[in-house]
Amino acid sequence: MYLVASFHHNLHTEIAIAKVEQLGISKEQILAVPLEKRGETRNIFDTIHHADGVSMFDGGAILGTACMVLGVIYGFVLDWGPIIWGLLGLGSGFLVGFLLDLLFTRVKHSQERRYEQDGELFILIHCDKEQVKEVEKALWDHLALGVAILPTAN
Amino acid sequence: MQDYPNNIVRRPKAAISDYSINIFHLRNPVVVAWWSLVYPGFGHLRMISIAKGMFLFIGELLINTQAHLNVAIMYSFTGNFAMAKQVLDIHLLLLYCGILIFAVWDSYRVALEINKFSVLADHEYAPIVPMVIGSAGLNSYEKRNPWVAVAWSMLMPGAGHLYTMTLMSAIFLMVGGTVIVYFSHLLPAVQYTALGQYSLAKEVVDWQWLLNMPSFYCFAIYDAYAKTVEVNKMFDQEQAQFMKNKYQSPLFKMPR
Repeated sequence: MYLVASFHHNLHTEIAIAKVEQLGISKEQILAVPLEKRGETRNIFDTIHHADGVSMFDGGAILGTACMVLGVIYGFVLDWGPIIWGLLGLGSGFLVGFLLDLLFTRVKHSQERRYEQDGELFILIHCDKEQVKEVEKALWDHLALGVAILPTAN
Repeated sequence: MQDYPNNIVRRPKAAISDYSINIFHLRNPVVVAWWSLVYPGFGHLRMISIAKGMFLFIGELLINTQAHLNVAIMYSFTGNFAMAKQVLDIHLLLLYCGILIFAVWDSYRVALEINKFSVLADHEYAPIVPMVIGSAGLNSYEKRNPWVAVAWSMLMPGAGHLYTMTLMSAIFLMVGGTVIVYFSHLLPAVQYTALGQYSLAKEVVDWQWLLNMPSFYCFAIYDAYAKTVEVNKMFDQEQAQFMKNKYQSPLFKMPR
Protein backbone atom coordinates (compact mmCIF):
# COMPACT_ATOMS: atom_id res chain seq x y z
CA MET A 1 0.00 0.00 0.00
CA TYR A 2 1.08 3.56 -0.61
CA LEU A 3 0.20 6.71 1.25
CA VAL A 4 0.55 10.12 -0.34
CA ALA A 5 0.52 13.24 1.81
CA SER A 6 1.15 16.90 1.15
CA PHE A 7 2.67 19.30 3.67
CA HIS A 8 3.90 22.81 4.15
CA HIS A 9 7.56 23.23 5.02
CA ASN A 10 7.28 23.19 8.77
CA LEU A 11 8.91 21.59 11.82
CA HIS A 12 5.78 19.46 12.19
CA THR A 13 6.56 17.86 8.86
CA GLU A 14 9.88 16.55 10.17
CA ILE A 15 8.17 15.29 13.32
CA ALA A 16 5.56 13.51 11.15
CA ILE A 17 8.29 11.66 9.27
CA ALA A 18 10.10 10.84 12.51
CA LYS A 19 6.83 9.38 13.90
CA VAL A 20 6.37 7.32 10.75
CA GLU A 21 9.91 5.99 11.08
CA GLN A 22 9.23 5.10 14.71
CA LEU A 23 6.34 2.95 13.50
CA GLY A 24 8.93 0.75 11.82
CA ILE A 25 8.94 2.25 8.33
CA SER A 26 12.54 2.47 7.05
CA LYS A 27 13.79 5.55 5.25
CA GLU A 28 13.98 3.57 2.01
CA GLN A 29 10.18 3.27 2.19
CA ILE A 30 9.73 7.04 2.33
CA LEU A 31 10.04 9.31 -0.67
CA ALA A 32 9.94 13.06 -0.06
CA VAL A 33 9.44 15.41 -2.98
CA PRO A 34 9.92 19.08 -2.10
CA LEU A 35 8.50 21.18 -4.90
CA GLU A 36 10.79 23.71 -6.55
CA LYS A 37 10.07 27.21 -5.31
CA ARG A 38 8.76 29.59 -7.86
CA GLY A 39 11.41 32.20 -8.59
CA GLU A 40 13.95 30.89 -6.13
CA THR A 41 16.31 29.06 -8.44
CA ARG A 42 14.38 29.17 -11.71
CA ASN A 43 13.59 32.21 -13.81
CA ILE A 44 16.28 34.29 -12.16
CA PHE A 45 16.05 37.10 -14.65
CA ASP A 46 12.29 37.22 -14.52
CA THR A 47 12.22 37.60 -10.82
CA ILE A 48 15.34 39.50 -9.87
CA HIS A 49 13.32 42.56 -8.96
CA HIS A 50 10.69 40.81 -6.94
CA ALA A 51 12.70 37.93 -5.63
CA ASP A 52 12.69 38.54 -1.92
CA GLY A 53 8.95 38.13 -1.59
CA VAL A 54 8.56 41.54 0.01
CA SER A 55 7.69 43.57 -3.04
CA MET A 56 4.09 43.79 -1.83
CA PHE A 57 5.55 45.82 0.99
CA ASP A 58 8.08 47.85 -1.02
CA GLY A 59 5.69 50.43 -2.46
CA GLY A 60 3.90 50.91 0.86
CA ALA A 61 7.13 51.32 2.81
CA ILE A 62 8.60 53.74 0.28
CA LEU A 63 5.60 56.04 -0.01
CA GLY A 64 4.71 55.60 3.65
CA THR A 65 8.12 56.85 4.79
CA ALA A 66 8.12 59.76 2.36
CA CYS A 67 4.62 60.91 3.32
CA MET A 68 5.38 60.48 7.02
CA VAL A 69 8.38 62.82 6.73
CA LEU A 70 6.19 65.36 4.93
CA GLY A 71 3.44 64.93 7.53
CA VAL A 72 5.85 65.64 10.39
CA ILE A 73 7.29 68.67 8.58
CA TYR A 74 3.94 70.25 7.74
CA GLY A 75 2.66 69.36 11.21
CA PHE A 76 4.93 72.22 12.26
CA VAL A 77 2.57 74.72 10.65
CA LEU A 78 -0.70 72.78 10.66
CA ASP A 79 -3.24 72.65 13.49
CA TRP A 80 -2.89 69.10 14.79
CA GLY A 81 0.90 69.07 15.15
CA PRO A 82 3.59 66.66 13.92
CA ILE A 83 2.42 63.43 15.56
CA ILE A 84 -1.03 63.19 14.03
CA TRP A 85 0.05 64.50 10.61
CA GLY A 86 3.03 62.13 10.64
CA LEU A 87 0.79 59.16 11.32
CA LEU A 88 -1.75 60.31 8.74
CA GLY A 89 1.11 60.64 6.24
CA LEU A 90 2.35 57.16 7.06
CA GLY A 91 -1.09 55.59 6.77
CA SER A 92 -2.12 57.29 3.55
CA GLY A 93 1.32 56.87 1.94
CA PHE A 94 1.43 53.20 2.83
CA LEU A 95 -2.07 52.61 1.48
CA VAL A 96 -1.42 54.38 -1.82
CA GLY A 97 1.97 52.66 -2.29
CA PHE A 98 0.51 49.28 -1.45
CA LEU A 99 -2.40 49.74 -3.87
CA LEU A 100 -0.09 50.88 -6.66
CA ASP A 101 2.11 47.85 -6.08
CA LEU A 102 -0.93 45.63 -6.09
CA LEU A 103 -2.19 47.20 -9.29
CA PHE A 104 1.08 46.80 -11.19
CA THR A 105 1.90 43.30 -10.04
CA ARG A 106 -1.54 41.82 -9.45
CA VAL A 107 -1.27 38.94 -11.87
CA LYS A 108 2.12 37.86 -10.61
CA HIS A 109 1.14 37.98 -6.98
CA SER A 110 -2.13 36.17 -7.43
CA GLN A 111 -0.05 33.30 -8.80
CA GLU A 112 2.28 33.45 -5.82
CA ARG A 113 -0.54 33.47 -3.33
CA ARG A 114 -2.14 30.47 -4.93
CA TYR A 115 1.16 28.69 -4.71
CA GLU A 116 1.53 29.51 -1.02
CA GLN A 117 -1.80 27.89 -0.24
CA ASP A 118 -0.87 24.64 -1.97
CA GLY A 119 1.33 21.95 -0.54
CA GLU A 120 5.04 22.60 -0.83
CA LEU A 121 6.16 19.07 -0.12
CA PHE A 122 4.82 15.67 -1.10
CA ILE A 123 5.58 12.51 0.80
CA LEU A 124 5.05 9.02 -0.53
CA ILE A 125 5.17 6.15 1.95
CA HIS A 126 5.29 2.48 1.04
CA CYS A 127 4.02 0.28 3.87
CA ASP A 128 2.13 -2.89 4.73
CA LYS A 129 -1.65 -2.96 4.78
CA GLU A 130 -1.70 -3.37 8.60
CA GLN A 131 0.33 -0.19 9.14
CA VAL A 132 -1.75 2.08 6.95
CA LYS A 133 -4.12 3.17 9.72
CA GLU A 134 -1.44 4.28 12.18
CA VAL A 135 0.76 5.88 9.53
CA GLU A 136 -2.24 7.81 8.27
CA LYS A 137 -3.02 9.00 11.80
CA ALA A 138 0.59 10.11 12.35
CA LEU A 139 0.41 12.18 9.15
CA TRP A 140 -2.90 13.81 10.02
CA ASP A 141 -1.73 14.50 13.58
CA HIS A 142 1.17 16.57 12.29
CA LEU A 143 -0.59 19.01 10.02
CA ALA A 144 -0.72 17.10 6.75
CA LEU A 145 -2.70 19.18 4.27
CA GLY A 146 -4.10 16.08 2.61
CA VAL A 147 -3.57 12.33 2.73
CA ALA A 148 -4.48 9.72 0.11
CA ILE A 149 -4.18 5.95 0.17
CA LEU A 150 -3.26 4.04 -3.00
CA PRO A 151 -4.13 0.37 -2.87
CA THR A 152 -1.71 -1.77 -4.88
CA ALA A 153 -1.64 -5.40 -5.94
CA ASN A 154 1.38 -6.35 -3.85
CA MET B 1 50.10 28.25 2.86
CA GLN B 2 46.92 27.35 4.58
CA ASP B 3 45.51 23.92 3.94
CA TYR B 4 41.95 24.04 2.60
CA PRO B 5 39.80 20.95 2.90
CA ASN B 6 38.46 19.64 -0.38
CA ASN B 7 34.88 20.16 0.65
CA ILE B 8 35.20 23.88 1.34
CA VAL B 9 32.04 25.86 0.58
CA ARG B 10 33.08 28.55 -1.89
CA ARG B 11 29.68 30.22 -2.24
CA PRO B 12 27.71 29.82 0.97
CA LYS B 13 24.00 30.64 0.96
CA ALA B 14 23.73 31.89 4.51
CA ALA B 15 25.51 32.29 7.81
CA ILE B 16 23.86 31.52 11.10
CA SER B 17 25.41 32.16 14.50
CA ASP B 18 24.02 32.49 17.98
CA TYR B 19 23.82 36.25 17.40
CA SER B 20 22.44 36.69 13.95
CA ILE B 21 21.38 35.34 10.60
CA ASN B 22 22.74 36.62 7.32
CA ILE B 23 21.37 35.39 4.01
CA PHE B 24 22.28 35.81 0.36
CA HIS B 25 19.20 36.29 -1.73
CA LEU B 26 18.12 38.40 -4.67
CA ARG B 27 17.35 42.01 -3.87
CA ASN B 28 16.08 44.87 -5.94
CA PRO B 29 19.07 47.27 -6.12
CA VAL B 30 16.78 50.25 -6.66
CA VAL B 31 14.90 49.64 -3.42
CA VAL B 32 18.20 49.22 -1.58
CA ALA B 33 19.51 52.50 -3.04
CA TRP B 34 16.26 54.21 -2.07
CA TRP B 35 16.72 53.21 1.58
CA SER B 36 20.24 54.64 1.45
CA LEU B 37 18.79 57.89 0.14
CA VAL B 38 16.26 57.99 3.00
CA TYR B 39 19.01 57.46 5.53
CA PRO B 40 22.63 56.61 4.68
CA GLY B 41 23.32 53.20 6.18
CA PHE B 42 19.83 51.75 5.84
CA GLY B 43 20.55 50.34 2.39
CA HIS B 44 23.53 48.46 3.76
CA LEU B 45 21.58 47.26 6.78
CA ARG B 46 18.95 45.88 4.37
CA MET B 47 21.67 43.76 2.83
CA ILE B 48 24.21 41.77 4.74
CA SER B 49 26.64 44.66 5.35
CA ILE B 50 25.47 45.27 8.91
CA ALA B 51 28.69 46.82 10.24
CA LYS B 52 29.09 49.11 7.24
CA GLY B 53 25.48 50.20 7.60
CA MET B 54 25.86 51.05 11.29
CA PHE B 55 29.03 53.01 10.56
CA LEU B 56 27.36 55.08 7.82
CA PHE B 57 24.28 55.63 9.98
CA ILE B 58 26.28 56.99 12.92
CA GLY B 59 28.30 59.21 10.57
CA GLU B 60 25.12 60.60 9.04
CA LEU B 61 23.56 61.20 12.43
CA LEU B 62 26.60 63.13 13.70
CA ILE B 63 26.89 65.31 10.59
CA ASN B 64 23.16 65.94 10.39
CA THR B 65 22.86 66.84 14.05
CA GLN B 66 25.88 69.13 14.00
CA ALA B 67 24.77 70.90 10.82
CA HIS B 68 21.10 71.20 11.92
CA LEU B 69 20.22 69.85 8.52
CA ASN B 70 16.83 68.46 9.53
CA VAL B 71 15.68 71.80 10.91
CA ALA B 72 16.86 73.49 7.71
CA ILE B 73 14.90 70.94 5.67
CA MET B 74 11.81 71.64 7.74
CA TYR B 75 12.09 75.41 7.29
CA SER B 76 12.72 75.02 3.55
CA PHE B 77 9.67 72.80 3.10
CA THR B 78 7.47 75.27 4.96
CA GLY B 79 8.73 78.20 2.89
CA ASN B 80 10.81 79.87 5.59
CA PHE B 81 14.03 80.10 3.57
CA ALA B 82 15.65 82.84 5.62
CA MET B 83 15.43 80.71 8.76
CA ALA B 84 16.74 77.70 6.85
CA LYS B 85 19.90 79.59 5.93
CA GLN B 86 20.24 80.90 9.44
CA VAL B 87 20.09 77.56 11.30
CA LEU B 88 22.56 75.69 9.07
CA ASP B 89 26.00 75.19 10.56
CA ILE B 90 28.51 74.97 7.73
CA HIS B 91 31.34 73.32 9.66
CA LEU B 92 30.37 69.83 8.54
CA LEU B 93 27.51 70.46 6.12
CA LEU B 94 29.37 69.68 2.89
CA LEU B 95 30.52 66.31 4.23
CA TYR B 96 26.85 65.30 4.15
CA CYS B 97 26.83 65.26 0.35
CA GLY B 98 29.77 62.87 0.35
CA ILE B 99 28.35 60.42 2.83
CA LEU B 100 24.90 60.49 1.22
CA ILE B 101 26.04 59.89 -2.35
CA PHE B 102 28.59 57.30 -1.26
CA ALA B 103 25.93 55.36 0.65
CA VAL B 104 23.53 55.37 -2.31
CA TRP B 105 26.19 54.42 -4.84
CA ASP B 106 27.84 51.78 -2.69
CA SER B 107 24.61 50.09 -1.63
CA TYR B 108 23.47 49.89 -5.25
CA ARG B 109 26.81 48.38 -6.25
CA VAL B 110 26.83 45.89 -3.35
CA ALA B 111 23.24 44.85 -4.16
CA LEU B 112 24.31 43.91 -7.68
CA GLU B 113 27.25 41.89 -6.32
CA ILE B 114 25.06 40.15 -3.76
CA ASN B 115 22.60 39.18 -6.47
CA LYS B 116 25.45 37.48 -8.34
CA PHE B 117 26.66 35.76 -5.18
CA SER B 118 23.18 34.53 -4.43
CA VAL B 119 22.75 33.06 -7.93
CA LEU B 120 26.10 31.27 -7.48
CA ALA B 121 25.15 30.09 -3.99
CA ASP B 122 21.90 28.60 -5.30
CA HIS B 123 23.90 26.88 -8.00
CA GLU B 124 26.52 25.52 -5.59
CA TYR B 125 23.72 24.17 -3.36
CA ALA B 126 26.04 23.79 -0.39
CA PRO B 127 24.69 22.12 2.75
CA ILE B 128 22.73 24.60 4.89
CA VAL B 129 23.19 24.54 8.66
CA PRO B 130 19.66 24.69 10.13
CA MET B 131 20.47 25.64 13.70
CA VAL B 132 23.21 26.74 16.03
CA ILE B 133 23.50 26.59 19.77
CA GLY B 134 26.27 28.74 21.17
CA SER B 135 27.33 30.46 24.34
CA ALA B 136 24.97 33.39 23.70
CA GLY B 137 21.92 31.25 22.97
CA LEU B 138 19.99 29.31 20.39
CA ASN B 139 19.38 30.36 16.83
CA SER B 140 17.59 28.41 14.14
CA TYR B 141 15.62 28.89 10.97
CA GLU B 142 12.01 28.84 12.06
CA LYS B 143 8.70 29.68 10.48
CA ARG B 144 7.58 33.01 11.84
CA ASN B 145 4.70 35.26 10.90
CA PRO B 146 6.03 38.44 9.22
CA TRP B 147 2.99 40.42 10.38
CA VAL B 148 3.80 39.59 13.98
CA ALA B 149 7.28 41.04 13.33
CA VAL B 150 5.58 44.15 11.91
CA ALA B 151 3.33 44.52 14.95
CA TRP B 152 6.22 44.26 17.42
CA SER B 153 8.34 46.68 15.40
CA MET B 154 5.50 49.21 15.48
CA LEU B 155 5.39 49.01 19.25
CA MET B 156 9.16 48.99 19.70
CA PRO B 157 11.55 49.38 16.75
CA GLY B 158 13.96 46.44 16.92
CA ALA B 159 11.59 44.05 18.69
CA GLY B 160 10.59 42.51 15.37
CA HIS B 161 14.26 41.75 14.76
CA LEU B 162 14.53 40.11 18.17
CA TYR B 163 11.58 37.92 17.19
CA THR B 164 13.37 36.95 13.99
CA MET B 165 16.66 36.46 15.88
CA THR B 166 18.77 38.91 13.90
CA LEU B 167 20.29 40.30 17.07
CA MET B 168 22.84 42.65 15.45
CA SER B 169 20.10 44.67 13.75
CA ALA B 170 17.87 44.39 16.82
CA ILE B 171 20.46 45.91 19.14
CA PHE B 172 21.24 48.65 16.64
CA LEU B 173 17.58 49.56 16.15
CA MET B 174 16.67 49.42 19.82
CA VAL B 175 19.60 51.53 21.00
CA GLY B 176 19.33 53.94 18.07
CA GLY B 177 15.55 54.17 18.40
CA THR B 178 15.75 54.87 22.12
CA VAL B 179 18.34 57.62 21.61
CA ILE B 180 16.24 59.29 18.91
CA VAL B 181 13.00 58.97 20.91
CA TYR B 182 14.71 60.49 23.95
CA PHE B 183 16.34 63.49 22.27
CA SER B 184 13.35 64.24 20.02
CA HIS B 185 11.01 64.44 23.06
CA LEU B 186 8.63 62.32 21.00
CA LEU B 187 6.82 60.64 23.87
CA PRO B 188 5.85 63.85 25.71
CA ALA B 189 4.57 65.12 22.35
CA VAL B 190 2.55 61.92 21.91
CA GLN B 191 1.06 62.44 25.35
CA TYR B 192 0.11 66.07 24.65
CA THR B 193 -1.31 65.11 21.26
CA ALA B 194 -3.41 62.39 22.82
CA LEU B 195 -4.79 64.95 25.29
CA GLY B 196 -5.57 67.37 22.45
CA GLN B 197 -2.96 69.95 23.49
CA TYR B 198 -1.51 70.33 20.01
CA SER B 199 0.34 73.61 20.52
CA LEU B 200 2.09 72.17 23.57
CA ALA B 201 3.09 69.14 21.52
CA LYS B 202 4.63 71.40 18.87
CA GLU B 203 6.54 73.32 21.51
CA VAL B 204 7.97 70.33 23.33
CA VAL B 205 9.49 68.45 20.35
CA ASP B 206 13.09 68.90 19.23
CA TRP B 207 12.65 69.19 15.47
CA GLN B 208 16.22 68.29 14.60
CA TRP B 209 15.86 64.90 16.29
CA LEU B 210 12.18 64.31 15.53
CA LEU B 211 12.74 64.36 11.78
CA ASN B 212 14.98 61.28 12.13
CA MET B 213 12.00 59.38 13.42
CA PRO B 214 9.83 58.70 10.33
CA SER B 215 12.57 57.02 8.32
CA PHE B 216 13.94 55.15 11.33
CA TYR B 217 10.50 53.90 12.33
CA CYS B 218 9.47 52.83 8.84
CA PHE B 219 12.78 51.15 8.21
CA ALA B 220 12.56 49.10 11.42
CA ILE B 221 9.10 47.87 10.42
CA TYR B 222 9.96 47.15 6.80
CA ASP B 223 13.25 45.44 7.60
CA ALA B 224 11.67 43.22 10.27
CA TYR B 225 9.01 42.12 7.78
CA ALA B 226 11.55 41.45 5.04
CA LYS B 227 13.99 39.60 7.32
CA THR B 228 11.22 37.35 8.62
CA VAL B 229 10.24 36.45 5.06
CA GLU B 230 13.88 35.73 4.24
CA VAL B 231 14.39 33.49 7.27
CA ASN B 232 11.17 31.60 6.46
CA LYS B 233 12.46 30.97 2.97
CA MET B 234 15.73 29.67 4.35
CA PHE B 235 13.78 27.27 6.55
CA ASP B 236 11.98 25.94 3.47
CA GLN B 237 15.19 25.59 1.50
CA GLU B 238 17.04 23.84 4.29
CA GLN B 239 14.18 21.42 4.88
CA ALA B 240 13.86 20.68 1.17
CA GLN B 241 17.59 20.00 1.03
CA PHE B 242 17.37 17.68 4.03
CA MET B 243 14.41 15.77 2.55
CA LYS B 244 16.11 15.37 -0.80
CA ASN B 245 19.28 14.04 0.81
CA LYS B 246 17.61 11.64 3.21
CA TYR B 247 14.30 10.56 1.71
CA GLN B 248 14.98 10.04 -1.97
CA SER B 249 16.56 6.63 -1.79
CA PRO B 250 17.02 4.77 -5.11
CA LEU B 251 15.74 1.69 -3.23
CA PHE B 252 12.28 3.23 -2.91
CA LYS B 253 9.80 0.97 -4.73
CA MET B 254 7.74 3.20 -6.98
CA PRO B 255 4.06 2.24 -7.35
CA ARG B 256 3.26 0.40 -10.58
